[in-house]
Amino acid sequence: MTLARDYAQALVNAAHTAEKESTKAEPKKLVAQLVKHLETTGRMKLLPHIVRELGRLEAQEKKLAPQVEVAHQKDAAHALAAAAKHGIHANEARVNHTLVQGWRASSKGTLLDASAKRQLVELYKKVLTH
Amino acid sequence: MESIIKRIEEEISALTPNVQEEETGIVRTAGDGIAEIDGLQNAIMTEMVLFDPSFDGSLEDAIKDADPIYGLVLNLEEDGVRAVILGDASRVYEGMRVRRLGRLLSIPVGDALVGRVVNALGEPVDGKGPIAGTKLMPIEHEAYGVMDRSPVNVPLHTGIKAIDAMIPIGRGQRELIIGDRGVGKTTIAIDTILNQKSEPEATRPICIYVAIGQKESKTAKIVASLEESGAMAYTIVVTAPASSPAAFQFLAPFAGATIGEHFMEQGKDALVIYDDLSKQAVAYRQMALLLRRPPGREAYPGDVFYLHSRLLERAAKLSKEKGGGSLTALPIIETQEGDISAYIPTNVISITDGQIFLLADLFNKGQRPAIDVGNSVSRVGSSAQTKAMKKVSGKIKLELAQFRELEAFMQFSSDLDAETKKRIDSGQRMTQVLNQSEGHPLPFEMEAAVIFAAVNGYLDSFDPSQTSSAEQRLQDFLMREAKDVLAQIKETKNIDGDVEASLRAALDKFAERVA
Repeated sequence: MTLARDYAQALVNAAHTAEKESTKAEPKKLVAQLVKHLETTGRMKLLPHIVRELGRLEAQEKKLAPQVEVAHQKDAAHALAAAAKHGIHANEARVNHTLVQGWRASSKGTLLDASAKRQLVELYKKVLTH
Repeated sequence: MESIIKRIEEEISALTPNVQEEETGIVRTAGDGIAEIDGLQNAIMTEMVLFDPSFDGSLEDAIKDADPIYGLVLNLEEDGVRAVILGDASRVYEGMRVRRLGRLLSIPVGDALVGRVVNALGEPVDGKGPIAGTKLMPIEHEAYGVMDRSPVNVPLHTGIKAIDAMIPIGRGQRELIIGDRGVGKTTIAIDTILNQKSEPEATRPICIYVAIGQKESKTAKIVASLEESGAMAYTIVVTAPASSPAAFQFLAPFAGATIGEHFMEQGKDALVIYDDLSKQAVAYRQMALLLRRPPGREAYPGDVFYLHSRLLERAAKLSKEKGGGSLTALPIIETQEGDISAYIPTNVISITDGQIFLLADLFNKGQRPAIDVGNSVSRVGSSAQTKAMKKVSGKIKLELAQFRELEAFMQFSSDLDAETKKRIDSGQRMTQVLNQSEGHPLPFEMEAAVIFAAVNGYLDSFDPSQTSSAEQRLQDFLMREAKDVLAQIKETKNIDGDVEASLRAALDKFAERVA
């Protein structure tokens, strides 16, 4: 459903713009305007599809939201600060023991990896190929 | 073992925690060899990506599952990209991290590839170990322009009399081999490779056989026969079998072209055979439909013509300034019930510089190769034909076409006038002379001598049905007693003056002996 996807994307974009510009276009108002538009254009059947597409977009945003992982809790403060230096601002760091050592952070498709796991895997591949 | 442990210890002690920044995406959905990826906003078309199985699991799992899974970005969309998975698609899962590699799809090329069997990514599949001494070359790039090319003027002998005489192929040409299944298309291609053995090493083209969507048993048989005849010494096989993902079948011809271009750019000659492009088109259609591209005629995507034109346009004869190398392409297309007016056949016919059309009817009548002379043509090959071949093959095509028309009257032979009967006899004789069994390509000088004998009536004393055996006897005679004449033809590439006189003397001797 490309049309539903386009409507959902437009709604999200409008909400983001409103948030950035601090206008008074609240999400509730935006939705009301969308419904009115769908009624006048005879596209009310699209509404459930738009809701589904909104769910997909929300999941996508969640996946690409800023997150910081650390191997040990004690590294959290350092990791959050280091990630912030690179423009990734997360509220808290999640402990992920598989990292072995160090930390990694990601946001909207950018990955910062300072974990020992990554380096050990690369080392393993390097040793195998040489 | 100890050295490895020591090496690992050294490397670990040298580890310094550094921050690596890269662009990644997350797999939204994966299936049928296609992955939809969120993120990767800066990815470019045909860029390679790496599906990273080590991202989520433990270090132990990451080491166990260290084989990389590559992908190829083929759709750029507003909120992500779609990529084809080049490998085991079952290892790709939703939520998997995907890294940009920042380079276009490239394959290793180099002299070390000669004699090897590789897949569409240039990875060896013949169990002979890794291929060293190669460099990476992008699989897709623009073909050479007009100013970089020179006219096709050097022949590429196939060793098949009917082709070298009537539908000659030049180095740098694109000649389509088209016909129904099982009529001998691959045989022509393989015989052409085998025949390059008779070329001097300095001018012998490197042959690249690209098997697309073929049964692995068929490819194995071809490799075995090439090995047996010593042709693998100058041949590379690129295979994307029927069991491989559609992406590999789509990429294999481009891989073959890239390998060929490497040799062409070194000033060498290369010959690439795409067996066959119908299967590549089908694989591309499958990918395009899964990538949700709009279907067009016969459900092929709108750019299926461009798929083949950009591939075949890479065949070229380069100018002296560019090294003078060449890449000759012999694409193969399979037709259904001899229908050359279907979508893909007409596309490829219009792109190539001629076609060799094989007919199932002729094949069933026992003609080998089953070439339909009337519908076969070489648009640029005649300017590359040697003088010797030009001289002997002058009227064969016309005579054979006339014979095909008169063939229907053969059953009334007792009522025919002498002139018509003579023409039918001559046509039958010539058809027999041009008959050639699989795996027996002839050196150019032998082809020229045999056809010279046939057109000058040296085989007329034989009954038309006996011509094949007479021709075999003639070949044996020439090999035994006229080696110097054959050598002269090979050297001068012409049959005139002294060479013609010597050849005629040898043929007179043959005629006397058989009489």
